Amino acid sequence: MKKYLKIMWTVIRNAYIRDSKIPGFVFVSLITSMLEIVITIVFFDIIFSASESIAGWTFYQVLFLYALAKTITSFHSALTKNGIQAMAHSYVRLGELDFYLTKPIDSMFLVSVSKPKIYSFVSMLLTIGLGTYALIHSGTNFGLLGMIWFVILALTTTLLYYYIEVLTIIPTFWLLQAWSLADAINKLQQFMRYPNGIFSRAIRYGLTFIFPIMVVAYYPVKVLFHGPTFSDIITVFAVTTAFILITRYLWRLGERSYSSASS
Amino acid sequence: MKKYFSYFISSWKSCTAYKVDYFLNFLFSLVFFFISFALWKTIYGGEGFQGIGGYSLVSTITYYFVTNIIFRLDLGVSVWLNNDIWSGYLTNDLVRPWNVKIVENMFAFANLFVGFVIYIPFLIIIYFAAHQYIVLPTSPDLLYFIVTLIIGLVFSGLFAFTLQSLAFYFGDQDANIELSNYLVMILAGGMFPLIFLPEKIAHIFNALPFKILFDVPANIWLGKMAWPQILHSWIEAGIWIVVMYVIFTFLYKNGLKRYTGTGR
Repeated sequence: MKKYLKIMWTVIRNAYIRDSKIPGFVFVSLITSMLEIVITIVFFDIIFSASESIAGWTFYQVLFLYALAKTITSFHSALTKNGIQAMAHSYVRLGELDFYLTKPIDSMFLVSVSKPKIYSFVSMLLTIGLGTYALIHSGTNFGLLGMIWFVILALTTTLLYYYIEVLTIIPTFWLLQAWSLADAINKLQQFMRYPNGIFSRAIRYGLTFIFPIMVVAYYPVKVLFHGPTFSDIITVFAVTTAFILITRYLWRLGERSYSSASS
Repeated sequence: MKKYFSYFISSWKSCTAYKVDYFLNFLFSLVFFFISFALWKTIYGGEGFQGIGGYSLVSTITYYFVTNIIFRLDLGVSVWLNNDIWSGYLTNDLVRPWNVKIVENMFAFANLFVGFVIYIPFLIIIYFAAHQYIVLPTSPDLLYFIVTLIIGLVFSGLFAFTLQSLAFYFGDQDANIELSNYLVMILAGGMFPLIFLPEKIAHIFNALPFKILFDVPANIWLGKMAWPQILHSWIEAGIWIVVMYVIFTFLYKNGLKRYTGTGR
């Protein structure tokens, strides 16, 4: 554990040195991220100016759901997203994965943290602020128990999101290049922004148990606003455990089929 | 002419080198439409919902269907001039007996053309999945729509080339391109119809040229624009195309004089 934390710290320090040399790039990237948040708020405002609720959720509840989804994605964007995308773009195709496989460290971990984008932590702070604002204005009376379960489930689904992110790019081991898979999570994370009541039963089921992107933000927020239920808690833990095991198994399978040939 | 055609064909082949990747990319592109579809169906199904800006559920879903088509024809994401400049790869094109601007365009169009052709089956899937909520245009509107798409294509291409020419002066423009693509998508009505916006903001967005990319063609498809309005938007876009071409020519010509070909 200590070794992994030490590596993490070194990688973050290097990322800071690298990013501080391109302040313009960092600044514009942050503006893009902020713009996305502003536009989403405007979009929600448009929707709720004509409708009091969506699938039983009020403006501030949906805003809080978005804020949590964005916080989780920003956290991963800061630490793991670039590394995982690089895997789909070039690590396998160019044989660069050799570097990560030959180290006495878990290769999935090392690939994931290979290219952190630490300035995304700024976006994360903004969305935490947005979430706090939405929570205060939501007017919901959530109990202490709901709050505790929210924190536990949010941390669990943050882990789940990481494994989903990795899972989407695992086919790269066989496809060699998969730009589309690197971008897939960006498109699929849109499902995290809305209450699952807007989707049909089949989509809800599929995105909860088969590809559980909807579990990531919806379940913790549901527990906070509507109280914890046994089935919600079990769903989150069962799905997270299953996806950790599936992802790790498939990663090992992919590693075995990796031939290191580059093109 | 033959050499440019050959370049187009080889660009086409290089675009489809990783076929599964291409296929998956389009598959994931359906996500935005189906989320919008589910969202607006829920909103319009809500009690006492009056609609926004005169858009019914059918108009709204059709709007997203049309923008889904237009997204496949966005030259902004197919232009690689910035990458060629900062990587030094542009030198390879400069020393060859062809016009660099034409081959850059050929590559972008090949990418777009292949993408659009491959996407047609996906559009059919969308149409059949949501056909009750999608209206087709009348014949004249379809014609106006196609003309507007072509004008929009020229505009977006010139805008992308102009922005990416800045790489001659300021180096890698990746972050600016990402910001600009996102901003243009919003300003153009790629996320929702501009009429949904508060009046003052919509007024500002309508004064900008980007609406020719999504909002104008989608509204033509929906039959929401009369012929004089359509003509007005064409003339307005035509003026912007001339302005953009002048700026691009200036930036490109002077940029080439600064270009060292060393890459980074």
